[in-house]
Formats: sequence, C-alpha cells, structure tokens
Amino acid sequence: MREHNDPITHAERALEAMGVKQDELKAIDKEIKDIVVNAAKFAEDTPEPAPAELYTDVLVGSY
Amino acid sequence: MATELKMPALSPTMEEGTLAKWLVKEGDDVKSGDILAEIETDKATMEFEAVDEGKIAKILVPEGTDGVKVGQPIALLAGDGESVDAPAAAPVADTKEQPKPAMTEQSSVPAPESQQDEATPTPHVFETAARDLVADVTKTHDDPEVPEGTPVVSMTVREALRDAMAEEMRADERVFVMGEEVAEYQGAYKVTQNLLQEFGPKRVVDTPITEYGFAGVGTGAAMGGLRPIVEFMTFNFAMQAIDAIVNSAAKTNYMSGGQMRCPIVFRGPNGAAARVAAQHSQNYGPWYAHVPGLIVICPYSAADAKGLLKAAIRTDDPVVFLENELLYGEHFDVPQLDDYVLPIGKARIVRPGKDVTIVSYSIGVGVALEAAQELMTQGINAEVIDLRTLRPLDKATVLESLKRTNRMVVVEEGWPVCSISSEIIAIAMTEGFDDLDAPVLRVTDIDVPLPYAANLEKLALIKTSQVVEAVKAVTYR
Repeated sequence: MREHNDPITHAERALEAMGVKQDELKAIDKEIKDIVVNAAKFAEDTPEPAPAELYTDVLVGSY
Repeated sequence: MATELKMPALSPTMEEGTLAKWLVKEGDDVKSGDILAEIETDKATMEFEAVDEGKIAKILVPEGTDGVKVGQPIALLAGDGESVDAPAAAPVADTKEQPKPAMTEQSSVPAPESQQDEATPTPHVFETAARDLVADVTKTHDDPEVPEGTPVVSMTVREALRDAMAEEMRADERVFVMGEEVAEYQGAYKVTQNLLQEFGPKRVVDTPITEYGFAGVGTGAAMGGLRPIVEFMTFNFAMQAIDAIVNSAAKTNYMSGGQMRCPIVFRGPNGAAARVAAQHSQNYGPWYAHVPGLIVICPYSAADAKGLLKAAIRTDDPVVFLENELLYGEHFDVPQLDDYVLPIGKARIVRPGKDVTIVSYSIGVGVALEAAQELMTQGINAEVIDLRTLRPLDKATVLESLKRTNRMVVVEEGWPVCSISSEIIAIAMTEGFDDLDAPVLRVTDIDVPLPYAANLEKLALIKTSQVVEAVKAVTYR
C-alpha cells in the first residue's frame, strides 16, 4: 500500500518529471533528515520547562 | 558510521522488551516499510518497521534477547549508497525508528521512576506522572461485593472487558464489534483478543480510520435492530464522531417519539495515559454526562468493567462506556459467575468510613483509596464512593453517605470546570445542604491542556497528597 501510494514518493516522481535530478532529491532527503534529527536532539537535551510554564499559552488575552 | 536503529517503545510506559526475531540479516538492503524484527513484551508482539532505506550494516542485539532496554541500539543501518564504515551522513546517534501503530499495549504497572541521571546515556526511564496514578491503583485494590461463597478469579480489566463482550456475543447473535484494529490486530490495546477467532469477520469488523463513518454505521445498525459495540481506539478520536453519538444515537428514541431504539455501546479508553499530551489525555466523562438520552459508564475495577459492560450491551439505550488505558493491565478479583451483570446507575461504596466521604470514578478511585489509607494513619476514617455510572448519577448513595459523614471531597482525573465534581457539589448543596458541616471540596487536574513535559504533567494530574489535604480542610484538621 505505502509503496505505491506514499504521497512523498508521488511528489518525488512529480519533481523528477519536472526535471529535478536524483542527486537533488537525495539532498532534500538529507536536509529533512538532519532537521528531524536535530529537532529530536534538541528535545532530548533541553531541560524541562519551569513549573510556572504550567499555566502559559492557554489563551492569548487576559480576562 | 551508520544510523543506529534503537529498540522501539510499544507504548509510552514500556521500558524493555524481548527482541523475538530478526526478519533481516546483515547485508540486507531494506526500504521504508520493511519489517525488520519482531519485538515482544508480556502483553503484545509488534513488528518493527524500517523508516529509512539502507543496508543492515550490523545486528547488535541477537534475536531471542530478553530485557532489551527501550532506546538501546539494536542494529546499524548504513545509509543509501554509503558503505558500513563511511562517514555518517547525519548526526545519527539520535535517529529513532518507531513501530507504526504506536498504540499497542504494555503492562501499565511500570517500576517506580528514578531521577533522571544526566550522566547516563539513553536508555533512561521514561518519566510520567501516570506511574503515580497506576501505583495508587496497585496499592489499593478494593473488594468487590460478592454473594457469600462465590469464588473469585483475578483478572485484568482488559480480560474482564473481553470476557463481557464474548459472553454477550455468545448469548445474542445481534451483538457485534466494530472499530479500528479490533479484528486482525486483536485490538489496539488487545481488548478484543480472540474475538475474531471465535466469532468470525462478520461479527468482528475492522473499519477504516474514520470515526464519524463507523460510529454512524454502528448507530444505523442499532436503529435497524442489531446491537453494535463500537470501539474507539481512544475517546479523543471519538471527537470526530461526537455528532453521531450525541445527535444521532442519543436522540433516536426521543425524536421518534419512543418508536425507534438505538441500543449501541461506544467504548474505548478515556482520560490521561502516560505522556500522551494535550490532545490525547482528555476525560470525556463530563462531556457525555451532559447529554440527555445517553447512559455514561466509567468503571474502575475489573469486576465492574465486566458487569457493567454486559449491562451496557443489553440495555436498549445508547451507552458511552469510558475505560482507562492505565487500568487495562491492572488485576482485580472478579466473581466467577456464569452471568455477572451489574445494575446501571448504581454507585459502589468501595471503602466504608465515617469521617468524610470521598467521591470519585475511574482511575480517581485508586487515588481516593490511597488517600483513605494514608488518612487512616492520621486518625481520619474516610468512606470512598465509586460512582461507576456518571449518567444517570446515583445521587441517593452520595447523599446517604453525606448524611453520615457530613463532609465531602470529590476526586476527578479531569478538568474542574463544568465537571462531574461540579455536579456532585451542586447536588450536595441543593439536596444535602443541612448535612454539610463544611463546603464540599474537589481535587481535579489543573485547568490547562495536559502538558507533555514530565514535570508539568505531574503538576497537572491529581495526586494522593492533594486529596489528603482537601480531607483535612473539610474535617478542620
């Protein structure tokens, strides 16, 4: 299922049809992988939020 | 250097598992979606799927190894085109692969958490306040009311729910189960284990991922004379289906002037689990209990889960049956009777006492019982009531208890605003005012979306210590 219907694979094919080279697609893949790996690393390495953060970002205004 | 493939977690509370079988060998080329290995815990087996393509450079943990810690590297994957010892294409040490259906169940009684040691590399113990909730349950099992001399058997809530469905399906051929992964996969949390094998694909139906669709199909089937059990993988996903539940199922009898029935059970896990964050931790008890035309059941023990699910399947009214993921793996004594059915709409006094009444439901009952044990050491004898059914609410049991203790605390794993505790407090004030020696207090989750961060999650969820404090406040200690 996924092999034939993966939207990312579809996009790759579409891009190839538009003349984008395999190397360029690989570079995009690598760039995305790096972003994800770095985000995961950031999440694991960052200290936990301060207790005061428990109440933040629920609403924008104060009422 | 190649990408490390790490031992996946089959559930957020899983700490280790068995690497049962490798389905690839060193040197194999794999692509995204290939099954690499089978991972087992005492509760479930999971296929471990490749996320990236590449070559299996090295298998670090041989098959058959027990006690493999989550996060421990189990194999090395060389990236596309790179040789095994080529330089890494990315800072790969933190690359994680996840098995696809992350909802699979694991024991819900993990070991106590230890302080996270900065110097210790992964794997570290997964921190979650859910451990404390489960610990309260484990320490405080109640004794279900059983007729004199009835043998009991210890079983998990998961098994009790399964048995309830199987027994009702044997007794009534109109009863069937549908939902995501209920058949071939045996249930996302293994609650429908072996039902497909016993009853076949006509009565145990895997649905596409469309809650609104299959809740509507189920509701129609109930109108048409069948007795569907619709499983939601979690009630958080059932928000997609709330129109079918509230506007179709709950209104059928009323809007047909009593000419049409809708005997359906919507069931699945509800409330907070371990670190499933803001969108997947909500307690829908108050939401559905708000709706005339629905029955809402929210059991704590395995015996109640069994007896009330059987009753829910039999009743001619639509039932929302709210389970709890953290309770699925908990053992309770269940009476060994051929047909153990409990009445809907009846609370249970799970611990008799005289100084204060603690009212709760679902996993909050464990917290209340734990608090009651602690209060006993301080000379306060608390009565604990498990509401079991949220709609219709058993006011009589609550008020009768209040009449004896004159003090009340409500414990609810959920938000405080417009909650079941709000309702209990309103009932106590309007119908038990003369019995009150102190204002009724409530212990609920903090009024914010449940945080993901472990420390904030812990601050947001109910705790035994808060219940103890509230009881002391209403008893003026």
